[in-house]
Amino acid sequence: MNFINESAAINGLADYIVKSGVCLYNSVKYIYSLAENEFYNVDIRDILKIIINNFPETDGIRSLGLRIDDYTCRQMQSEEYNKVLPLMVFSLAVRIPVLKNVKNGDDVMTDDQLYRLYNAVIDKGAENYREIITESFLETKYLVRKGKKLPPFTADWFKSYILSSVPALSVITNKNMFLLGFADTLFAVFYTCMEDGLSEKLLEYADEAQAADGE
Amino acid sequence: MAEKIIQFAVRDSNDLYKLELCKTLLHFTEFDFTYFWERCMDAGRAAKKSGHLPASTVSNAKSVISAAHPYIEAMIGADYSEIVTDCIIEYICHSERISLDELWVRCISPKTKYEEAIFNRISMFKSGKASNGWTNIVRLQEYAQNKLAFIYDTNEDKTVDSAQILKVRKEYFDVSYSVAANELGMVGKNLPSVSVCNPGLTPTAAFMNAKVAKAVYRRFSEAFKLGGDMSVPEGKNCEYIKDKLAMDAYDFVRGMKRPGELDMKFALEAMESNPVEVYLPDSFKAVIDLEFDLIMKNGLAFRRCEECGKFFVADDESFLCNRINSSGMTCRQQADALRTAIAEAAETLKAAEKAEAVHTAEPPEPTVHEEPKKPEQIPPELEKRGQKIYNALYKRVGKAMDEKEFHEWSRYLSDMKKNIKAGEATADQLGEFLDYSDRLCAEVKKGRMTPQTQFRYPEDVEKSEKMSPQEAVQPAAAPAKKPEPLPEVIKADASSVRIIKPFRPETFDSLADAFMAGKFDDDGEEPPKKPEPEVREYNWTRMTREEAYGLKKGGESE
Repeated sequence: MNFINESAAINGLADYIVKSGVCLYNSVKYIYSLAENEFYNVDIRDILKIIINNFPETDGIRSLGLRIDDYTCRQMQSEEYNKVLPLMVFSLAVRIPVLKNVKNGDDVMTDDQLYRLYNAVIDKGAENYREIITESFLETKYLVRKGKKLPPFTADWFKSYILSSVPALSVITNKNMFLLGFADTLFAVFYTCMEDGLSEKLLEYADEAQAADGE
Repeated sequence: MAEKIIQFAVRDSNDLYKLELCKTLLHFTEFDFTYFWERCMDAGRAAKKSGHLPASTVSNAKSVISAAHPYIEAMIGADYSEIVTDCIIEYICHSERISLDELWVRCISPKTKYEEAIFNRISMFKSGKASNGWTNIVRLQEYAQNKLAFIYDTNEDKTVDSAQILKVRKEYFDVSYSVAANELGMVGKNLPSVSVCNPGLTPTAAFMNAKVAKAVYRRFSEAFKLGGDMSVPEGKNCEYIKDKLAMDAYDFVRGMKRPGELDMKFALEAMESNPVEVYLPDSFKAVIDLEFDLIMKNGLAFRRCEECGKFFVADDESFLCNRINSSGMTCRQQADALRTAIAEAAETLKAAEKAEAVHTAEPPEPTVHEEPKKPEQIPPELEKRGQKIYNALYKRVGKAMDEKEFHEWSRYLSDMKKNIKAGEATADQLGEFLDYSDRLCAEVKKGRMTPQTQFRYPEDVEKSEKMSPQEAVQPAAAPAKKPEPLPEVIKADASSVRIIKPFRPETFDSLADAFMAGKFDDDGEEPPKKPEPEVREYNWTRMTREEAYGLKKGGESE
């Protein structure tokens, strides 16, 4: 795919993926804080609406009175849980080959461009900590090339990591059960938004290049 | 009237606010919010152009609405801090006919500070962190107006209600609201309430009495440090552990002795101006209800002015207020002036009529001054007398007196009584009628009923008016006397017949009582004594078994 400045475009797309990972990470915290005191005050559908409409920003959720401070998310204050953010970004990075399906006319991203984007995201901190995520860049690339359907973006790796590596969140409490319950829905909703947003971003860069060519 | 002022505190504030009973309520119920609303609209229009609410207009609008009630003033930095945004939100939803949710979704990805302010505010509504302060104030003004009218509005008969009636009305109003809340499943503890305490026990007492609190802290700081953090998580229900928490806190100052003289003097200076009681309302409605309660407790009341229709504090029996109206006078002064003007006009008219009469040399028609009719009670002796005559005549119905005549007479008596009660006739007139009835009765008893002595119910009023009662019962040949008109009986109209209970003759336990009732006094005869029931001694005889069971001798049944 043609870009005015390829490295800037790839860097921009990598930023977007990292931002999306941060968005997912914060959204989990915001919804988790709901179970602290606001369970009957805040409608979880309102949170999802705000996430969808402001993707990848999550500050709008604060207007509902939710805070992700050290007290409400105290169970998440651990080194182990902090690894969830690089894992989340990595889980998005392995799906980069899906961008092959985004076409600007007949123009699509080359394998090289996709690989460079993947590396850019890894360079920004994405990490498959303890090989928790079973999917890989190559596997996704293969499925896309074959035109096969990708497995749904689920929270399975997130739940298994929490249960195995974050003791404060694996204890059976009302709040922790709520976390494990809403994660499935959130990941599914989130991935749809991320995919759409990333495609739009890619097309923006491609359009800029096309406009520059036209001039 | 002595001014009664109470002091109240609001949550998250260290200040005390004053509320003047009666005056505050009247001021709030009559407060015109138009100017505030216009300021908000100006702010909204400016924000649409610039992308943010103009601070000066917002602060101007807030100062306008703060003047409506001391509670609004107290909460203008808390619950009502976003009142301008609330007013704009309400206006947008109302004018564009959209729901709050629709407006929220419209602003979900805010482009300007103005949109963000609206989005944040609606988010707070949705999550129960706030409610629309503007709508609440407007609704509460209507609530206060309705409650005021319900309790204090003037009765149709313009009588002044007793304090007991007013109290019952107020409670009825409050109970109605409570029933509605209960039926809708609202829990009592979530509804507005007020607590009363002394300034030392308010939730912010340590900050209200900061100087004294510091002195106390200095005395017990070591103990407090040992205590550590005993705060309770925000969401925890402390309803059933309040005593425990209180005593846990008290434990740290348990051994406290009175402070030294210097400290005591210092405390006296700091706290002597504190009020005895501080009210802690948790909402605006609670303050309004509190004011109603205290108004009643202090024996104060309102009344609606007959002239301007507004409520005022009733300090005498007058139904007119002391407000200055558009005429530049108070309603009372205006009414006095009107009364004087009417009297003067009447005087002038009278003088003019007099002059005209002299001029035309015709005898002036007597001015009839109709005195206001006052309903009277029938004196018991007249009631008794009427009953006796009734009984005496009733006894002779069908013998010395025709039944039809008797009915006419009794109807006349009944109408006369009704008219006295309605203020259309007087007790004297009834007395005259009874005198006449006595004579009629005497004639009837003597069996001298002639066509002249027959009772005439004034269907032919003219005739009966010309005839005196004496004349009426005298034979036609009797010498004529100066005519004495029968007391005029005005037939009660249909409506009054429904209202006034018709006269009913006395009821008797037995026929003998009824028979004897008219005897006493009428003829001067002693009433015959009621026969005493004869007490017989029973003659008990023992029966044989055969006699009792009707058996033949030998035990066989007959």
